[in-house]
Amino acid sequence: MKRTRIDFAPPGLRRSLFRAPPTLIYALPGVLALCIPALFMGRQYFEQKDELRDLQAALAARSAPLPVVAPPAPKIAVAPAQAGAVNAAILQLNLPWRDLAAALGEATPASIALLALEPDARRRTVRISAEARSSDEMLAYITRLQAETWFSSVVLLRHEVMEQDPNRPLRFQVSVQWEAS
Amino acid sequence: MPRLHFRPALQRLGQALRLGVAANGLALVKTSRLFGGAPLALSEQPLDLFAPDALAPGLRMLFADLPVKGWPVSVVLADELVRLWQVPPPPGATRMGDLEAAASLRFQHLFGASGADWKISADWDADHPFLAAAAPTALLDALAAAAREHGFHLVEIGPQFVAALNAWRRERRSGAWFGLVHGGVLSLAAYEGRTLAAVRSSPIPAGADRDWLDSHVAREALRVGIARPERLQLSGAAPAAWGSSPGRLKFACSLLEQQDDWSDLARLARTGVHA
Repeated sequence: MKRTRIDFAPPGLRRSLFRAPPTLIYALPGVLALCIPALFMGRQYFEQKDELRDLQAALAARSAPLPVVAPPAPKIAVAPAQAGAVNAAILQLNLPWRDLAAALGEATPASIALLALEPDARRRTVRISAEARSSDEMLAYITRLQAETWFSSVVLLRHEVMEQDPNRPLRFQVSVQWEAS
Repeated sequence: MPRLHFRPALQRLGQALRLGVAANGLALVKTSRLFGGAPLALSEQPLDLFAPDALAPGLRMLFADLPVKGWPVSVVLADELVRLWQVPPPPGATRMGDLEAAASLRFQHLFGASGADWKISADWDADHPFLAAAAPTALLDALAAAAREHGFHLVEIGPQFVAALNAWRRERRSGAWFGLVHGGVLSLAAYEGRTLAAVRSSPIPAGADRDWLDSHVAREALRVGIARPERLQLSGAAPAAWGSSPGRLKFACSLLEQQDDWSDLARLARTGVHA
């Protein structure tokens, strides 16, 4: 006949343990006999799993393409004179031509004939050769150049009257220095 | 009176205590489930359980010299403290709530009391009539409080009749009725085949002999409306004269236990384990 399950005891762990058939304790050696090898096999399994993972990582590292390393740029020895020339050329190339031309165009009236512009980037100067009809025009031109804000100093270097020319123009040279930008 | 010895937990493996609670007293028995030791009566304490707050001081006196802390304790409630009845499951019952409602309705119908002060536990079965029991909530609360106070674990609380049913379930035959004789009361579980038909209790009159038993069983069979059994199996302190083979008699009666010198209270606590 089956058991009549009538029990007023409050539920709990001790009650559940008590309800388990006492003969279960005879199954304990069997359970241990199963559990202990299972424990060892489990440990072995996890060790093998770790080993396999390491092996796979090593294999992946070996078969992976080598990372592309950019070759280091060769060191070029530059002589000081050459370096100076290069720097000078760069300065020359970096001349503010647009600003210079705009400032000169603004300051030069039609009565002045520009003959040559010789810029010197290192000193931030430009040597202007020009002709004027008279010394008054020349002086007026120099005054206008001085009034230009872009130029910091204007110096008349030399002037002479061209006797060979029938119009006897006044040829002069002005050195103009501009502001460092 | 034997004493409980303090032993490490391993040595008392499989050992447990059984506490018998009756209206007239308490008894404590030590049992060994694992290695087949005989049960050992430890102490008894007479008291009037119906007096207010009688259980707690009674238990204190019962456990006076016994360190029960940590022990698993099964409580056997005497049948006069609980209600036992049979519940036919409602047709089409689909949920546990249906069975609980059926048990509670039948409890009210049979005993007239509201279920508020009683806790119902049953061997729930949705297909066949099942046995239900109710115990007073106040008694269960007092037992739980005592467990907290003394530090033992309540692992089982059940009626004596159910403890006897379970203890002898392997010896019980299909179709046989089962009875428990205790304290001058005969409780009978009437079976029809394997199905429980009714549970009935009645006092045994002085000088009751085998003829009384025959007529009593015949009366109960008529009252329940089933055929008389071919065999009756009795546990508890049944008179030896009741045991017999069928012969000229109407049914066989086998006694599962012999009378011994255990007191009624100790016998109550021992119900559920084989002596």
